[in-house]
Parts: sequence; C-alpha cells; structure tokens
Amino acid sequence: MADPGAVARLSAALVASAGGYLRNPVRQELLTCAVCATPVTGFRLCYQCQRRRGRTGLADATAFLAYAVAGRQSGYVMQGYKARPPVPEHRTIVTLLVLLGLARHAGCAGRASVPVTHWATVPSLPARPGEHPLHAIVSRLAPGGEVVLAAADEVEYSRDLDPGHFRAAAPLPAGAHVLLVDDTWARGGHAQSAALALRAAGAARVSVLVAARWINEDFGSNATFLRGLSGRDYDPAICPWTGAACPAGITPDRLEATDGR
Amino acid sequence: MSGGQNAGSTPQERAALVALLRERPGRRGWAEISAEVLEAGSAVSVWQRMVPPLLVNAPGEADRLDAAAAQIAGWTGQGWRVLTILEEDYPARLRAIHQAPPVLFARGTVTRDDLAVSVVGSRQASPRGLDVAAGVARGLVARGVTVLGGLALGIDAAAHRAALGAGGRTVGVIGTGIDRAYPAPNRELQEQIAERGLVLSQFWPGAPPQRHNFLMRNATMSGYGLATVVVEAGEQSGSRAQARIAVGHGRPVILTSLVVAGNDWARALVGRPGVHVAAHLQGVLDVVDQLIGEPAAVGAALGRLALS
Repeated sequence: MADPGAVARLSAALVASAGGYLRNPVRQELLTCAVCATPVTGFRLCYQCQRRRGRTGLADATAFLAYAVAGRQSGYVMQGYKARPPVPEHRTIVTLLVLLGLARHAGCAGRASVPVTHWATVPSLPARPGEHPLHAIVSRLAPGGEVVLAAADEVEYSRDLDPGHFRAAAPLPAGAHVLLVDDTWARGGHAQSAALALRAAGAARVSVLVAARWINEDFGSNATFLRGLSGRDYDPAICPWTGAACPAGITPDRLEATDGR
Repeated sequence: MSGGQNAGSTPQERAALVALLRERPGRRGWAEISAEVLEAGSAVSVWQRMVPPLLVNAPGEADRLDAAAAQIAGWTGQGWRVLTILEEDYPARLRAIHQAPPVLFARGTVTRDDLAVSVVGSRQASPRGLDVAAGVARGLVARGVTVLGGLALGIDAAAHRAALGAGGRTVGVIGTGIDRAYPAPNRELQEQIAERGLVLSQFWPGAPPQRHNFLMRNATMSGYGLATVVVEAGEQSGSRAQARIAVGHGRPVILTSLVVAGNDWARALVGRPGVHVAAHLQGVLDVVDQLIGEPAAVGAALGRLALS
C-alpha cells in the first residue's frame, strides 16, 4: 500500500499550495445533488441528474475531490493542467489532488460493496492524439487492471448521454468493479456515458471518482453556497464518497494526526 | 517547452491581443479575454471568432488590428517591452494565477523563471520595520533570490534599496502606467530599478494612480513571487490585501510576529494554508529556504508514493 510518510508529506504540500482556494465538496441531502454534489435548493437531485434518473447502467457511486469554480483559481488550475503547453504549477496541484485521492480514498469505493478490480480514465471527446494528462497521473497509482476506453472520433453532441461515445478495448470478467476517473464534471455527460460503455463491456459495478465538480457562480444560488464555504480550507482526509469520514467497515485512516496544518 | 517556436510571440498575435483588450467584445472583462486567448493558444483566432469583420471601415478609421500594431510600435519605440501572456518570456509563476494580466509593460531585464519574494509593508514604517525589510532583502540577495516590491514608500522602498545596495536583482511592480512614477519621491528609485532590475506595469501607458489599480497590482505581485513577506503593516494596508490574495492563490505568506501582534487580520490568517509566522529575521529566511526546497521535496515524496 501507499507509503504513509509520503502520503502525509504530500497532503501537507497540497494543503499548503492549494488549500486556500480548493474546497471539499459537500455531500448533504437537499443541499447538494446526491449524485454530482452541485448545490441544489431543496431537491435530492440537480436538473441534469434528475433527467437521467432511472436510466440503467449509470454510475453506482460518485465521488468528487474538490469544487472548481469558473473564473477563479480552482477553475483556472483545472484548465491549466491540460493546456497546451500545460502550466507546470497546475500540473503539480492536479497530480497531488488525484494521487492523494487515489491513495487515501480509492479503497473507500469498495467498502460498501466489493473491492475495486479495474480502473479506467475518461478520454477526451472527440478522440485526441497523445496521452491524456489525467491518464498519465492516474496510471501511476490506480488499483487493479486497466480497462482502456477509446473515444469516438466524431460525435454530434459530446455532452449528451450516449454509450456510443466510448468503447472499452476488451470485455470485462464477471463481477468486475471499475473505478472510473475523470478530471472535471460539468453536466456529467462524459463520465456517465463512459460508465454506460463500461457496463456494455460487462462491468458489474462502476464507481466514478472526479477530480473537480465544475461550478458556475452565476447559476442559481451557487454564489451564496460558495460564500458559505469561505475559510473552509481543503482537507485531503475528507472522504470524497461521503463528504465526511471514510465509510465504515475499514481500518480508519490514521494519517490525520500527521497532516498539514 | 523552452526553445521551440512560439506562435504567441508574433507581431500579429500581440496586435490582436491588444485590440481585443481595447475592444472588449461583448463587454468581456480582461480576465475572460485572457482565459479565452490562453485556451485557444492564439489571440488572432479569438479576434476572428469574436469580432465581426466590418465590410467597410468608417472614413478615416484605420483597421483596428493595424491601429493596435501601430500603438505597440509606438510603445516599443519608447523603450518599453510589451509582453503578452501567450509569449514564452511571460513570467512563468505569474501565468499560474487566474488574475495573470494579459499584457505586461516592462522596463529592464525580463527573466521568465525569476525566483522572487515580495517584501511588503507599511508606507509609514518604524525604524525597526525598515531595518527588518533591509535585512530580509539582503538575505534574499545572498540566496540569489530577487527582491520584489511595489515601489511604495516605507517598507517597499527600503527593501528595493537594500537589494540594489547589495548588488542583487530587484523588481518593482507599479500601480500606474509604465511611463509614470507614483509616489513622486520614488521616481529616482524607479529609474535605478529599471536600469539594474525590472519595472513592470499591467496598465496602459499613461494610466494614473487609482485605488483599484493597486489591488490588481498586489495580485500581480503575489503571482510573480514564490512567497510574500509582510514586514510591518497596519489594519488597512495594501499588505493585508496582498496576504489575503496570496492565500487565495495558494502562495505562501510569511508574517513577522510584529505584524501578527498588531493586526486582527494577521491573526485571522494564522493557521490558514501556507501562512507562516516568523519571530525574527533568520526565521523569515529559514522559511524562504524551506520554500525554495519544496519542489524537490514534493518530487521525492511523489516518487515514494507512486511510479512515475
């Protein structure tokens, strides 16, 4: 398993260099969407997630490491890490965010059900040449074997929910639990389409881990919601699946004591 | 990515960016234009997308791109360098903050990977504050670190002067156009810095001193530097703004215990990410040393955590 000393050191480094502007997503019924953690006003699901509700094959569980706010430092970092050329500082922040998310919370995906057996990342849509920067990060630490997802070369509406947007390179063994990782969730079309594609390849369970839930301050009550998070600096110990402590039935994460200030 | 051809540094790109900032299509703010241009990797393509071509120019009105190119030629003729965010020489650390100015005006030596630390504080500084500022500046120079300041009276000026005195590099980020000096008593100092270091402005030439400009200038200083040292400050100072902005950028802040003792805002920052308190001069420099070593330490820990 991950070197606890390295995890503690890197957690401190992430907090020192991004904790002032990254915010842990809130998972609270009727305050944020039960699927995608975007602010809602008194509903269980946001408009997009409600619209898709009932469709079989969507993600069984979703987790978000941080909010990324359009036009703010958090949003700028999520764009800059994959700009061409990338902004090196942004690449470092996203690397720390995702690798710590995997090291500390990939296992949490399997606690409520069965352990993760495979991983995949959501590719660019339509397909682009070269390795996606997220794939380069995730492949360093992801649990289990990789399911290679390929994106369609041409799509009409890339944000639509469509299992044809992605295709797994090979069928999955019975009972496979895939941890699907994406960098940004705006409406969820990419990640959910990829989940459907994994399902088509035979996945029994799909858990989606997203680096950042994209938030537009101008929308609804989002600005008020974000103001309520001011001063709540980023804490890598908070579980992205629950918004609180890691799910029960596991060895408690003992790293908190040595975490960054 | 050093070396290779950079599409962003052609005269056409520079003119298109200046024209976009002048025109502000759809009343977009500069930050929005900046983000669009960065994403596209080209100001020319953003211009073509956002600005509908005029079939016929109004009588006597030159093409807007030609007008921008002529204006840039005028500025460079004055000896000012015009540096856009698309250019490879644009300060690398500054590019990483969301308030990175789309265009900079420079007098002096531009260094892309300048390792700099802001030394800021009160305009009405105490003799002890001025001493600490000069000591921090000399310590930075001894480490090969650039002393960054806002060319204000008091702490900033003491740090700039000490850096020059120690033969080090100093950079002044000003809140007016590059052709102006504010406050007037620092005009001579600004000239020296332009000659031996670098003076930067993010405002159009001719821009007068305005309150809001100084806040934007503080954001630029936070972004340009590795960290911000607040030597001595009052409750309503620009240093307070810069310290808060830096936390929002994920840039470290070093507060002297003098500052913490005297200010509610400083006490509120203690415990926030990246905020350090130093009891004495050596304490400030120790934190700086630690920050300089941080990328290597993080790299080593990453190597222990995961395959590369």
